[in-house]
Amino acid sequence: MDQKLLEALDNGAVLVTGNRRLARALQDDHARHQQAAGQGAWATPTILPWSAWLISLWQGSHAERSPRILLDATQTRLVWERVIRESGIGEGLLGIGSTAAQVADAWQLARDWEIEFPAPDEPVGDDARAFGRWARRFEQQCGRHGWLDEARLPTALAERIQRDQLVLPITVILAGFDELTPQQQRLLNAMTRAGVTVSRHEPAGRNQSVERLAFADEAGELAHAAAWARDCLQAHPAARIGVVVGDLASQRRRVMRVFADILHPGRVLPGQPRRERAFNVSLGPPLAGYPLVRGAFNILRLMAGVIDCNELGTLLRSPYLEGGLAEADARARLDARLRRRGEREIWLSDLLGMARAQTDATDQAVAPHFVNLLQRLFVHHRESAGSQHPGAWAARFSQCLTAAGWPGERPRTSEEFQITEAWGGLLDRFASLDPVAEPIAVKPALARLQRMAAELPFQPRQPDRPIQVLGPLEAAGQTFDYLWVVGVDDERWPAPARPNPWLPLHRQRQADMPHATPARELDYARRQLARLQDSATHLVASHPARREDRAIGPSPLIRHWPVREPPAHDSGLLDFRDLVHACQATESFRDDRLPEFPAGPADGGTGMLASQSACPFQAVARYRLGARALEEPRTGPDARDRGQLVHQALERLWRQLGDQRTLLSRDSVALEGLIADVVADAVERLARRRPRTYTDRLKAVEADTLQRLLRTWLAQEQQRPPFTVAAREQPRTIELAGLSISLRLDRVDRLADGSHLVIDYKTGRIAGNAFLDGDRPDQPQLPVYALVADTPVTGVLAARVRADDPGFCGMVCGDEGPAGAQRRSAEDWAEQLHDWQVVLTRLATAFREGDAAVDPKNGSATCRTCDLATLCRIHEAGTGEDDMESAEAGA
Amino acid sequence: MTADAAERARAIDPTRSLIVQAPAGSGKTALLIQRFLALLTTVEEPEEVVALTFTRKAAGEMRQRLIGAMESADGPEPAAEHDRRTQALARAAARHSDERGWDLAAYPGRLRIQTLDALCAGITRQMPMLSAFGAQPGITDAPIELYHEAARRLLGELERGHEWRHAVARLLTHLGNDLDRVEGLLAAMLGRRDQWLRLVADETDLRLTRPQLEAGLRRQLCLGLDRVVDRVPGACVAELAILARYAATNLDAGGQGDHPVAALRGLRGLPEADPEGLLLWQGLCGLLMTKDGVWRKRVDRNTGFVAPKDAADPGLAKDMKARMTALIEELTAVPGLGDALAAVPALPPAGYTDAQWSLIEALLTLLKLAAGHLQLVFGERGEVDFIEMTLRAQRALGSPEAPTDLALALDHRIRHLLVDEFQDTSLTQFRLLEQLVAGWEPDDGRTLFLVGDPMQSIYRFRQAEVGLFLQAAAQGLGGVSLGFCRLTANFRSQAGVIDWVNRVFPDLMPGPDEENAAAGAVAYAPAEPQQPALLDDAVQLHVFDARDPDAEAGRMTEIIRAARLADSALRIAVLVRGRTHVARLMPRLAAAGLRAQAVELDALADRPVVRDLQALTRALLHPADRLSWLSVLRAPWCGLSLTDLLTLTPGDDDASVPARLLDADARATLPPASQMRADRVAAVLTDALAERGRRGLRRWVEGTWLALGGPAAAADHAALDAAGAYFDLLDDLDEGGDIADFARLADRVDRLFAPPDPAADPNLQVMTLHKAKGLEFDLVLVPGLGRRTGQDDPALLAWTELPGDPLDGEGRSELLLAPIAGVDQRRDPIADFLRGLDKEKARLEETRLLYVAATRARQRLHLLGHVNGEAGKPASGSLLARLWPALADRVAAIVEPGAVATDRERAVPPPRRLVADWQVPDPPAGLTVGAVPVPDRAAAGGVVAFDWAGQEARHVGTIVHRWLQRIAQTGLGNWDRSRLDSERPAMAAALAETGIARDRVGKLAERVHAALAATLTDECGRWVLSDHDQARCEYALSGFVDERLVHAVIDRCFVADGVRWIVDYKTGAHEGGDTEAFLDREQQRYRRQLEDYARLFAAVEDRPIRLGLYYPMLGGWRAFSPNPDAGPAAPETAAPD
Ligand code: SF4
Repeated sequence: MDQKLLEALDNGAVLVTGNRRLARALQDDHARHQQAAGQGAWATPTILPWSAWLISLWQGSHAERSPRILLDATQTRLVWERVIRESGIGEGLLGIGSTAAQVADAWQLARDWEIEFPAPDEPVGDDARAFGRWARRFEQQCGRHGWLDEARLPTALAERIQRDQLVLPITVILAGFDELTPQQQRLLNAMTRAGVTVSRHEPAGRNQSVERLAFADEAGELAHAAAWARDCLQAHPAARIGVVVGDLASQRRRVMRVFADILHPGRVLPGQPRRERAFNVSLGPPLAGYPLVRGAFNILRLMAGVIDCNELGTLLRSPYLEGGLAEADARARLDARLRRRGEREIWLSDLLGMARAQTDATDQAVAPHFVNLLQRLFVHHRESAGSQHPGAWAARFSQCLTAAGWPGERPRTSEEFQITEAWGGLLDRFASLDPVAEPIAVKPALARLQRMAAELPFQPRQPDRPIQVLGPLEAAGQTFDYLWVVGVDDERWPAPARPNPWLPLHRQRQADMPHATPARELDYARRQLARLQDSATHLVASHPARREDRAIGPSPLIRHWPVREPPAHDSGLLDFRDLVHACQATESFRDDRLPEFPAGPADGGTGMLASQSACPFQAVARYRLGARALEEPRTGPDARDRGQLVHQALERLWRQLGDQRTLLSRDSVALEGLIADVVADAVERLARRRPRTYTDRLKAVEADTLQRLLRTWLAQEQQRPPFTVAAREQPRTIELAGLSISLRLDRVDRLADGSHLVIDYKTGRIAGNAFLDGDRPDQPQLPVYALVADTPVTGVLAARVRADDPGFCGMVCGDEGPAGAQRRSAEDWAEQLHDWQVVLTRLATAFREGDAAVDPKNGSATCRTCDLATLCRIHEAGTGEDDMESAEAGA
Repeated sequence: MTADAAERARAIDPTRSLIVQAPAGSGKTALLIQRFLALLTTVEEPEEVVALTFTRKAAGEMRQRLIGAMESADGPEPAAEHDRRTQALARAAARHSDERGWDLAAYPGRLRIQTLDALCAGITRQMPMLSAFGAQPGITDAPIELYHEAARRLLGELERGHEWRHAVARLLTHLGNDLDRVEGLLAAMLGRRDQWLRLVADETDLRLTRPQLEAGLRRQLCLGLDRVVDRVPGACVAELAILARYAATNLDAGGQGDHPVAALRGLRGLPEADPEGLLLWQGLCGLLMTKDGVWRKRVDRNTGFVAPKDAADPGLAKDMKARMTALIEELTAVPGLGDALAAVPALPPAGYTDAQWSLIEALLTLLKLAAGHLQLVFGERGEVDFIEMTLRAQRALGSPEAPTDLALALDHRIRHLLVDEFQDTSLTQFRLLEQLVAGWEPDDGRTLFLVGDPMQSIYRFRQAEVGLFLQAAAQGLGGVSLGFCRLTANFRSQAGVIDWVNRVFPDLMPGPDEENAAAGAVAYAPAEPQQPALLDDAVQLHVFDARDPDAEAGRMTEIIRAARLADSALRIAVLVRGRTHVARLMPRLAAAGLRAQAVELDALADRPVVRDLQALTRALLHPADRLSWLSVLRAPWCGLSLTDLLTLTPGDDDASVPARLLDADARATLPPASQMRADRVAAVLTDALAERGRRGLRRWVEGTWLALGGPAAAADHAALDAAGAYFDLLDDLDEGGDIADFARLADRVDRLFAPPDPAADPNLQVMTLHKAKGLEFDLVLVPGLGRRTGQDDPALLAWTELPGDPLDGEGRSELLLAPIAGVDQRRDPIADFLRGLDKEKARLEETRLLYVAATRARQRLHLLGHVNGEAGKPASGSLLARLWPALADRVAAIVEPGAVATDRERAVPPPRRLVADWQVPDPPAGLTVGAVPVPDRAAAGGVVAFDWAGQEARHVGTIVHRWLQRIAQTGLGNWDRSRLDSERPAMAAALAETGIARDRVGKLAERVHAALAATLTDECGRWVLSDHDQARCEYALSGFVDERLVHAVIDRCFVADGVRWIVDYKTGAHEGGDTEAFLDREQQRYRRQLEDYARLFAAVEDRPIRLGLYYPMLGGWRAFSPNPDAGPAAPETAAPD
C-alpha cells in the first residue's frame, strides 16, 4: 500500500476490490501501516469488495417511491428454481437445483456482458432458447413482485445515480480487477458523470525473478512448494509468501495436510495444544461437512421421523448432543443392539422404546439423557406434520437442536464456536427465503437446508498468516515477496476454452466474453500469469510431469523461463512418519495359549466345537474373549433368518404330523393348509423382531417362498422308509473333557426297527459327505447329537432343506435311511461312534486347555468364513490368497 | 520400404474415410499422428479434428507425441524415412497454424485428443437441455454404490401401491426372497443398462413381444439342427435310419420304450430340422454320441445293440453292431459334424413356458423402473456414471431421423474423426459414432478414420464387440463408407517372436472363411517382421506338472534376475490375467532386490498394516466394536497377549473394551510389562478419543497411529505406503469425521491397491494383460497360463442380440432373452443356451488375449503354466489348453516337476510387537509462528447453549439502526411523527429486503415505527440523536487493543461537555418483569465490548470517556464509565449482536 493510496483513504476514498480476500488483505495492510506509523486507532477506511460495495450503496440510497426489494443469492436461486421447474421444459432435468445455480451464473454473465437473449425466431440451440425463456420469465416474476437481483444491481444503481437518489463517495479506487465487464463499466461511467473520481490502483511491477521447475508428480510438487514456503519464511520472517493452487477447491484437504505436515510436523499427534498455524488456505470446506453441522442434521433427520440405521449410528456416537460424552458407551452399545436387530431404517418411536428398554440391573435406563432427548424430539416430531414457511422451520429446527442439547457438553473450541455461529447464519439465510418461498413439508425443508449447507463454504476466522495458499483469482491484487504457482502445465495454462452452454455462442463471441473462444482463453491465461508475475518479487512456477496416468509438460507460457533444478528428493521433506518408522524396536512373542478354562458349563454349545475344529484361535477368540464383529444392517431375510424360519416351521409341522404315515395320509389340500399355517406362524414370529423390515407384503413373499420350500422338502420325506418323529428341538447336555455343553437336537426320527436317526436341518450349502470325517470334522454337532440322542442311534443326517438341492447326507448304519447318506456296517458304525467320542473329547480338551493356535483347517478357505483375521494376524504369513481364478482385469 | 508402404500412404490421405487393420507392432500411433497432422492442414480451426483414444493415458501420450512432432518441425531432418514424412507433415501443419493464427505452439490444448467419455462429457456440458442434464453432474468413482441404492429403492416398491409391486413380488419369489441377491443382480443389470435400456424403453420395438422372441428361439433351434442336416452325408441317411429303427425296436422290446433312442422307431430319413423333430434329434444324439458329446466308441445294449450272444438272431445282432460301428466311424470323419451334433442337446426349446414369460414381463417392467430409480439417485447425488454420460450424449445428438444441429450447439464442428483401438468399441459407443457422423455426405470434405486390430480385441468385460470392426469394414459406419487398409509390417518384435506367432496362431484363431461378426470370430492375419531374428529361442515355455504359483514365481524371478544382470536397461514386463496372480510374485521379486512397478495390481486389503488401521479406525469410531478394540490391543503397536486381553476385559459381551482400557485400576490387574504397554496406549487413545470430531477422519486416525507407533511396527516402506493409500481412502470417505457405513469402508478397502512405488525400477513392470494393450517390452513373461478362467455370474436377464433373419428385410437384429433360473430350478435351458453363445465368444477372446500377450515382446517371450499331474494336460478352459495343440509335439520336453505346496504349509509366524518401553520420538521441529494458543472462547464463556433467536428481532434492529442513523444525520429537528409515518413504506421495503416473510412485514414495520416514534419522544433518545460536537453515526474505527486488531463500528458517538460519549443502540426487547434488572444485566454483558471502543478512542484523543447503551424499544438508558483496569476484553469476534 503506497503513500498515495494511504492518503486517499484517509481522505475518505472508497477502495473497491475485485475479490473479498483482497479487501481483507488491504484492510490488514492498512492497519500495519498505521501501526508502523505509531497509530493506536484510526478511522476504518472503506475497503469493500465490489458486490458488498454495491449493496451498501443500494441500502444507503433512498427511493421512497416504489421501493424495490433486493434479493440475495440464496433467494434468487429459489426464484430460478421455481421458474425452471414450472417452465415445463425443465422438469425432466437431472438436477434442478444445480441447474438453477448454473442458470443463475449464466444470467449474471449475460447481465455483466450485456448479452441480450435471442429473439424467438433467431436460430440458436435449444439450450440458449430455454435460457431465454427462463430469463424472460424470471424478469417477469421479479417485475411483478418488485424484486431486484444482484446481477442487475449495477444497472439499477446507475439509474438511481441518474435520478440522483444515491449517496456517492467522492473518490473510488479500484483494485484487483483483471478486467471490467461492460455492466461494471456502465456503472462507473455513470459515477464519473456524476462527478466521482474513479481510478485504479495496481501494484507496481515488482518482479525480480521468475523460475520454473518440474516434479515427477503432483504430490511431490505440492510438498516441495510447502517446504519452499517454510524455508522462505525461516529466512525472511517478515516476508509475505503465497502459494497459488489452480483447483484449490478440490485440492483443499490435501493442501491442508501437506502444509500442516511440513510446516508443523508434530501437530497431527493427538492431545497437542491447538496453536496458530503459519499458513492459511483461502477456501473453506462446505459448512455441511463439519462434524458439528452433520450432527445437527442427523438430529433433525431423526426428528423428521425415520433415519437410516447407519446414520443413527453416527448420531449415537456424536459428542454434539446431550449426554454425548457421559453416555457414549451406553449409546454405542445401543447401536450394536440396533445393528443386531438388523433393521435398515429406524423409526423415532421404535428407538425411543428401545432406549427406554435398555436398562441396567436396577432397572434404570442406561442412557437416561438419550431417552429424555428422544422424548423431546418426539414432541417436535408430532408438531412437524404440515407444511410451513422456511422461517417457521428455521425456528422449529433451532428449537429441536436446543432440545437435543446440541452442540453438546464438551467445551467448545473457538472453531466450534464459530461453526455454531455459522449455523445460525445458515438458518438466517434459510429463513430469509420466506418472501420468495412456498410452504414446504419437513423433509424437503431439511433437504433444502442441507443443500444450502453443502454449498456454503465456511472457514473459521483467522488472523493474517505469513503464508497464504490461494486460488489464482483470489491472488488478484495482492502482493507477495515470494510466490509459487503450482500446476502451470500445458493442460491448464491455458485450459481449453469453455463457452457458457446457456448463452448463444455467437453472442458470446461478439461480446468477447471470457472463455468464449480459444483466442480469448489464451489471452486470459497470459494476463493472469502476467498479473501474478507483477504481484510477486520472486515467482516460481512448477508443474508435475504426470497427472493421473498422463504425461504432461510445462505450460508453453512459461517454457522460456529459466529452469531451476528441483531440490533432491528428501532434502527438507523430513517426514515424521519416517522418523517413527526408524524407531523400530520390535520383538516377537508367543501367544498361542490361554489359561485353562474352568470345568463346568461352556457357552456357545456345539458352535464352540465347530469353531475349535475349524481353527483353535477362532474358538478361543469367539467363546472366551467374546470377539465378535459389529453387525451390518440387512435388507431382507438373511441366511440366519432363513435357518430359523425353516427350523420353526418344520418343528411345528412335525408336531402336527408326528410321523410319516400321517404325512402320507394327508391329502394335498390338508397338507397345503398345514404348511401355510406353520409357515405363517414362523414368519410372524420372525417379523416380531424386525417389524419394519417384515411388512405385510414382504411377509407374504417370504411365506410363499417358504411354503414352496417345505413342499419340495416334504416330497423328500415322503420317499423315505417309514419313520416316526421321536423328538423335536430337544435340549440336551453333553459332558466332554469336563465341559458341559448344552445343545438342542433339531429332530430325532425313530425307524420301524426302533433305532434312531438324528437329523440336523441345514439351509446352507453342504458339499459331499466329508463333513463328518477326520480329526476336525466340519459339522461336529452331528456326532455330538449321535452321542447324546436316545439309543440306539443308527445314523446322523444333515437335511439339506434347500430348494435347489433338497436331500439328505450323512452316515447311517445298515441299509435303512434315506438316499444320499453313506452306509456303514454295524461294526463300522460302532467304531465310528467311538471315534467320534474320541475326536470330540479331543476338541473339547483343546478348548479347555486354552489352545489358541492359529491353524485354520482348510487354510484360506476356512478364513474366508471367519471375521477374526485382524485379531489372529494370519496375514502376517503373507498376503495369501492366490487361488482365485478370475478373468477380471483392470484397465 | 515395407511391403505395406502403399497402404500406409493411403491411410494418411486426408480426403478419404478409412478403416485400418493395424496388427500389433505395426506403428499405429505414428500413423495416427501423421494423419492428424495431415488433417490439420485442411481445417479452419484445429478443434475440427478430433481423435478418440481408448484411455486418458493414451490420449496424453498421443498429445505429447503430436506436440513433439510439431516442435521438431523446424529441427534437423531425421534419418528414418518414416520420421521424415512425419516432419514434412508437421511442417505443413505448423505453416497452416501460423497462417490461421492458431498459436498452437502456445496453446496445445486446442488439439482435441480425448477419450470417448471425455467427448461425451463435452457434448453434455455444451448441451445441457438436449442432454436433459441441466447442470453437468460429476462422475462417481463408485457407481456400484448408486446401482445398489437404486436397486434397493426398486425393491422398496413392494410397499407402494403401484401395480408393479406384483412384479417385485414375482421376482422375489422366483429367487427365494433373497433380497440381497436380487439387489446385487439388479445392480449388475444397471451397470450394463446401455445395452438394454434402449430396447426396454422403446415401446414400439416389437422384438420384445413373445411371438417375436419365440420366433428367435425357434430360429436358433432350427439353425442348430440345420447345421447337422447340412453335414450328414446323404449317403449315410438310409443306413442311419435302418440302424436307428433297429436299435429302437430292441429298446422297445427290452422294456425301455421311454429311452430317447426308442423314439426313433419310425425313422425313415433325417428328422425335420424344426422343433417338432427335436425329440428325434435328441434320439439320434443318444444313438451316436455319449452324454459328453463324443462319438460313441462302443455300441452296446444301452443304445439298443444287443450283444450277439444275448440276441435272438446273433448273426443279425453282430452284423448290425458292426454296421453301426462302421457308420459312426464314417460320421466321425465328417468335418464339423461332431460339433454340430454335440450342440443339439444344448439347443433351446422353441418357446417359453408361461411361467418364464410372466417372469420376463415382470423383469422388463422392473428393469425400466430400476433405471428410473437410478435417475433419481443420480439427481440426488449430483453424480452419474460413464454410461449415463454416453446415453445422455446420445440423447443430445438426436435421433437418426432428427439429428441435432450441432452447429448451433457445439462451439466447433467435427470435420474429421479419428478413432483408435476401434476393435474394443461397444455397441453403445458404435451408435454414438454413428450419431456423430449423421448427415455426412460423401465427399463433403469430412472424414472418418477407424484404426484397430480385431485380433487384439480383449475388452469384452467392458462390452467391447469385436464384430463391430468387421461390420464397419464390410458396411461402413453410419452413412460413411470406409476404405479398408491392412498393415502387415511389424516393427516391434524380432523375427523369432513373429515367426512363432505366425506359426502358432493361425491354428488357434478362426480361418479367414470362418470370420463371423455375430460370434465375435476374427481370423488371424499374419505379420511381416521388420527386425532381424536374434540367435536363441525367442519363445520359451515353462510348464510344471502341477499347479504351483511358487514355482512359477521362482522361475520368473530367476529369468528376470539373469536378464537384469545381462542388461540393466532391458524393459521387462510380467503380464498376468488376474490381479490375484501376482500375490506370490511380488514378495519374491522384492526378496531378490527387484522393485517392480505394479499398477493397480497389488491388493492391500489383507496387508496387516491396512487391517490394523481399519481396526483402529473402527475402534476410534465405535466404542462397542469389540472385535476392533481387541484387535487394536493385540496389534504390534500395543501387543497385549490373549491372556492380557482376557484379564482386562472379562468375557462379558456387553462391557466396553475402551472403558476398561482407560480405567487405570483395570489396567493395574495386568502383569507389569503388559501394564506398561496398556498405559502407553491408553494415554494415546484417551487423547485421541477426546478429539472426536475435531479433526478430519484421516488426520485423527493418522495422528493416533503415529502416536501409537504404528510406523515403527510397520514392516517396511511398502507397508508405510500402503498405510498412506489407506489414509487417502479415509479422506474420501470422511463424513464429518465419521464413517456412517462401515461396510462401505470395507468394500473400498477391498478395492485398494498399492500405490506406485516411486523408487521402483521403471523398466520392470507387472501389470494385467489388459493394461499392457498398446505397450511393448523387450522381455515379456506371462505366468499362470494353466489356470482356468473364471466364469461370469449369471445375469438377471440374459441377453443376446444376433443378426436377424435374412428374410426379415429390415435387417434388424434379433433378440434372445432368458430369465435367470429360479431357486428351485437348477438351470434354465434358454439361459444355458445363451450362456453357451457367450462362452464361445469368451473362448475366442481368450485366444486373442494370448495373442496380445505374445506380441508385447520385442525380443523374448516366456510363457509359464502347469498341467494337471495325472492327465498330463492343461485344465480345459485355461489359456495353456488353447495353446496345447500347437505345442503337442514338444510336450514331453517341456513339462517339469514343481514342488506342490498348499497354503496350509505356510507357517504363521508368531506375532510381533513393539518392545514394552517403546516411546514415540519427538517430531521434527516445525515453524513456531504465533505460538500463543488460540483463545478458547468456551474457556472464557463456558458452555453456551445454542440459541438462534430467530431473525425477526435482529432484522427489526437493523432497520431501527438504519433510521436512527438517518435521523441523526439529517438533523433531529427535521423529524416528527408525520415524517415517520410517511416513511412507513420505505421501512417495510427495507424489512422485506432482509428476508422477512411477506405477511409479517407490515407488522414488523409497525414495530420499527413504534420504536422510532418512542425515541423521538424520549428525552434520552432525543439527547443522543441531537446535534452534538463531533457527532458521528455508525463510526468505523480500527486500532489495536492489547495487540489485537479491532474493527469497531460505533452506533453513535459525540462530545458533550468535554466528555466523549460512546453509545451503542440495543434493540432487544424485554418482555415483562424487572426492566431495571434486565438493563443491569445488559450493562454487564456489553461492558467489555464498549470498553474496547473506549480504548480505541483513548488512543486518538485525550478526553474523559463515558459509555452509553440506549434501548429504543424500551426507552431504556444506561451510562457508565469504562473501568480502567478491566482485564483483556473478549476478542473482537465475541461481539454478539
Ligand atoms: S481368520 Fe483364519 S486363522 Fe484367523 S481365526 Fe479365523 S480361521 Fe483362524
